[in-house]
Amino acid sequence: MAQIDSSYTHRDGDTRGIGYRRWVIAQATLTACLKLKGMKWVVWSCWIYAFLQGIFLFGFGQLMDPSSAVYAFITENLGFFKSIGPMFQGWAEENPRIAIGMTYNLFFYIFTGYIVSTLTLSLVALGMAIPRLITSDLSSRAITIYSSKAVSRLDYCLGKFGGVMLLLTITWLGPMLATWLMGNLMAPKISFFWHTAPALLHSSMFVMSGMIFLGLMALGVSSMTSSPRTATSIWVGVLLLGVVLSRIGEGSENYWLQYLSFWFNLELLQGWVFNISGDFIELGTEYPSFTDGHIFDRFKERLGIKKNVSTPRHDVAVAITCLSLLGGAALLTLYKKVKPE
Amino acid sequence: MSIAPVIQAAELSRWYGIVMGLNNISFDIGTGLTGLVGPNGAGKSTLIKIITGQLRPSDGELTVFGMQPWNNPAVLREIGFCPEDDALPDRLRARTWLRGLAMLSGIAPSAAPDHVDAILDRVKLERVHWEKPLGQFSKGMRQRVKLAQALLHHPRLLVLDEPMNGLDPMGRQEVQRILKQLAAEGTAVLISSHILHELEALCPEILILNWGRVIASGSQLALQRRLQGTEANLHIRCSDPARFTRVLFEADLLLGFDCTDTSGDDEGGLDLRVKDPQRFSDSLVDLLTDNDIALHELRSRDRSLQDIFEKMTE
Amino acid sequence: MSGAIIECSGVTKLFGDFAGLNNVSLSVSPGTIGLLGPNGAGKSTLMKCLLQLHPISMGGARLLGRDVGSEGREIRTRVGYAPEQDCLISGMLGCEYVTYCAQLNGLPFQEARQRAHEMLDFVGMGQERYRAVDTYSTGMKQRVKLAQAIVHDPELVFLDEPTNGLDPKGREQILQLVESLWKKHNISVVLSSHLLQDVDRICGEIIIIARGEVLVQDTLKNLKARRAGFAELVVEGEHQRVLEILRANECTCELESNGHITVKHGRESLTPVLKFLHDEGVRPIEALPSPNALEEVFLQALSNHGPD
Repeated sequence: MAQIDSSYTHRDGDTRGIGYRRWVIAQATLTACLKLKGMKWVVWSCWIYAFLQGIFLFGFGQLMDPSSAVYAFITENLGFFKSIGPMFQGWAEENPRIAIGMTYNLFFYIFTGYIVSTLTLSLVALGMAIPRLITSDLSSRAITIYSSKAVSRLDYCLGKFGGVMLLLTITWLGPMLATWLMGNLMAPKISFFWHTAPALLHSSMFVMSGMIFLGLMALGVSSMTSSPRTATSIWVGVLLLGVVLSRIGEGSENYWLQYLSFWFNLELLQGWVFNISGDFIELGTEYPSFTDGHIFDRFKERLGIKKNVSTPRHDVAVAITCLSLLGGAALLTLYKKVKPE
Repeated sequence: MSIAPVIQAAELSRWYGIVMGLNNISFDIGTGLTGLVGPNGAGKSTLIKIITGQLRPSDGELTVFGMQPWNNPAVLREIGFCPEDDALPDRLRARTWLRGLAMLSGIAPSAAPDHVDAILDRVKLERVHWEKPLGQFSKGMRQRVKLAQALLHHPRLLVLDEPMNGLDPMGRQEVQRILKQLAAEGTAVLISSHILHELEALCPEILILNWGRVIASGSQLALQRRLQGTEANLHIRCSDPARFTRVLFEADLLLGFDCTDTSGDDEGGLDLRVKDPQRFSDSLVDLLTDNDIALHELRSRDRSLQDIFEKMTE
Repeated sequence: MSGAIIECSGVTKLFGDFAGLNNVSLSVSPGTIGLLGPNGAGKSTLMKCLLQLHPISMGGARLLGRDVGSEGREIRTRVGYAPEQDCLISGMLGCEYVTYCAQLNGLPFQEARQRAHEMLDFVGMGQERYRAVDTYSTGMKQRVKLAQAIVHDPELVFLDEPTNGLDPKGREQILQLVESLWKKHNISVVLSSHLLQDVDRICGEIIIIARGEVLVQDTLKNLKARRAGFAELVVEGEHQRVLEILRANECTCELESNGHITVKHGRESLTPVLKFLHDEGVRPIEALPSPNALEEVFLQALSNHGPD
């Protein structure tokens, strides 16, 4: 028959290694996620958010520099700053580690994991991506195809995990790094890089461990069912359950309930990594007059820092154990569910 | 015995907006087994839906037992339909489901169990499966249940869409046996299928659709005759193919030939285009015996339903 | 290439108490192999076990000379598989999907892309390749499935019901393609099908499986030889007279429901049969040797095996 072109040729090229094949799966996963309706908006939001944060940091940097136009403009127009502006600068000159380093640390504490943050947006992105991760492969039996190729189940899961990591890098880690870079590139002094390095380290540590945990959770949820709607519902359910558990447990005798909430555990982990309480304690000893005010206490309360003590080690240990257990459960689900047929 | 056709279409058309389903077709289908053949998108499903009263013709008329099936329970009671997709309730047991259907089609509740059992026996569903939920059934078992469902009310016309899809060879044979038996009992059976060699053995009458039109209808014999021309295409396996072609050529019978299966270690196959088929069949034996050629296979390439179908849908 | 492409020794696959495969031992040489059996006989299970989609419960298997259990991934770079069910990745275009499958087998992107398009040409897919796979018809799905199974140039492909649901033309085209894989391109094919005619046409070797056991493994030629001396005659009209003539010439014969005559003539070739028919003025239109050989062998094998 004429329409059949029997131009079959044998190939004699090399085959790439298993790393490449895993990378291909990760890439394809990311592409599929980005193709989702609305995902572009979420990603854009993350980067716009990062840009705004950068602008904010730029403003902060300018306050530290008496020769800047922004500083001049603000001190002229805002009476309040006329009095405290020079104080800031003197402070930055005198103790940049606290004035710049700690402020950045606080900023990034807020940026990486506060209610309105790229973390929230990442959770939304994951919620949208979940039906596309493994769920759709389960429902379309694509798992069979993967398994019939030169990839094992482990390779498949690693690839998918890589895909989630890529997605979270775009929505969470990337914007965070960009914010940091922007703030420092537009800072008045090159020494900002040096002073803000701890903030970057803390953010990276927290974001990366959070990414690994959330990635595992997302894969676990995604592999639980072959129905996209159910998968999304489970994800929303897990998030809500986290909120509810931490609220119920808060301040009650059943405080241990909080540890079942990954929100709470992540918060603990974050508090420990950034050591904001420690910062405040240090600030209190160096500048007692500054931290005594009523306004400052309110501020701390808003941030969720109740006592002037660092997050206890054993609390963090429990939190990390709980997160690992949750991650382990996700892995177990993966192992049980990701099978051809 | 000339009786009124079971299904009669006159200038029947069906459009879906601007999309064509059937375009101005006319045909008659009588009792016995009729095969409905056509490529995908030829309009087979549309035709089946019109016959079973699920669609209304846009134009023209189609009657079953003299009446239009659309919105006409009197006709639908006479029609059994076995659809292609298997939409069976997964949780119900085979027997329960069929009993419910039996009662829906007007069989007395007291008679329904025996009736259903008889039909399940007839479609050769093994008894161990009768009380199992349909969701656990294999494809072959589901096909049988679908067939049973179509037979419940003893229809006079049975319409089957791909009834043998997914069945293994034994299952196919059994279904064919059941259908033949039904036809012998006087039921008109219309079967749509893609497996032409099966239809060829099963259905004396054939209806071929293509692009919404009927391109051929009638008995297989009539279709074969219609294609008979002044030349014939044959496939032959014999002991000395080279010599045989030479002999044919000398006898002025050969228009062209092609050697196939030359890779084979024994007698090769020949595809022959022969002129004057009548003279060829008259002189074949003499040519063979005179030249001491052992014939192993003589196959016509013009007669099978596959051949006919290919020629007509070209 | 020489040596067996598939070797099984005592392969058993248990699903709970049920044995999907029961002590299957096989050795298969390169070629086209037809896998036949009733529904649920274990055809698909055998393919899946060989590809490690299901772990083998007991016994060992080797594919292309390598152990399936320990080198599954390496083996699969040289093996292709088109499953029976749909297995497309939704949201992808046809050509994307095939490219992706090639990459999963380790082809670099540039080559994967090129081969994907070549294979789509090969299976006769036109512009449809730029449509999302979710919108494909059965015919296109079967083509894409075939394309993804051969895109990495395997030495062996497993095709599970590749013609299921196709219309006659589509089936013919797919069969031609599958046939050419071994005949022209030296790729061994293991084909499972319910249509004996398809298997008859393409396959050189037949394996019949029922209830998880191999009942028959032989070449099609040998199987057909079992039915040597049988023929099917097609004559127009005069059936009764033809039957009488045949019987007069020491043949056992039977009129089939489709008007064909099955005859046991017991002669070396059909020439003498045609001769004595010719002498009586009967000119058969067709004379086919060992008719329905495969079907007979199939049914016989199953009935010998006994009912449940």
